Amino acid sequence: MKSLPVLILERRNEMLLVCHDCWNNLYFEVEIEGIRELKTENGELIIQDTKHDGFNFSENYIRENLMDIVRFVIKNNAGVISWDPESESYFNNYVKCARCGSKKVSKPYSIWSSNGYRSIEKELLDSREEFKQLRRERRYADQMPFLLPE
Amino acid sequence: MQIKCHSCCQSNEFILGLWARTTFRFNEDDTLTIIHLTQLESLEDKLSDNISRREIQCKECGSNEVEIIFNEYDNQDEDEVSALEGL
Repeated sequence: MKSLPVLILERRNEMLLVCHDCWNNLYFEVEIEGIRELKTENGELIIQDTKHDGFNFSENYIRENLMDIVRFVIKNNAGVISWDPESESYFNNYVKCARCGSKKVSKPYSIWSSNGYRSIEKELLDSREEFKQLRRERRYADQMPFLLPE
Repeated sequence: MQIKCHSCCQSNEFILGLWARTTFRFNEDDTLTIIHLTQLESLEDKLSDNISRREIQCKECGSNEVEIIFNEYDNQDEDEVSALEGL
């Protein structure tokens, strides 16, 4: 089995990370751990990728680690950002901008929007009838279909 | 040079983790491409450093009880050394 040339991250229509200093949203850097195989032959040290049945474990390890860390950073956006009292700014603990070297990298958006804000209470009230209907369907779910009482 | 596993005494293959800086790009088609890799740790330093040496794992049994002998002729008697040199 050969390792894939690219990593499939997730379906998206917009940028995932952005640098707050140069607005780069394409190139980033992370530090990851890779593995190498050591072996000795006739007193000489040989360093190579670790392979098993043609599968390059070293390459796969790098790709998986990279994908894991990028997913983690995107998912835990606020959790991976720390405050630096010296520069009085926030910085990302894992990802760095590859263009300007800045650590001020974060997700570029939040699902919260002041324009389209709707409280959960209002959303629940609006959906009350729909939920009641759903519960009634569950009550009759193990029976043959018939018209629900008014 | 020799590397020995004290746990299984059989393996000649070992695994060592090395940190690297990866530069990557987000692609239009929802993928990531690695465009550069920079090693952050030197393998030579790790092998010679006693603390880092504990990170070496036997590929067979996974044990960290590994001994590195940089020159296997160091502990030999002078007679053996001269015999080997003669060969």
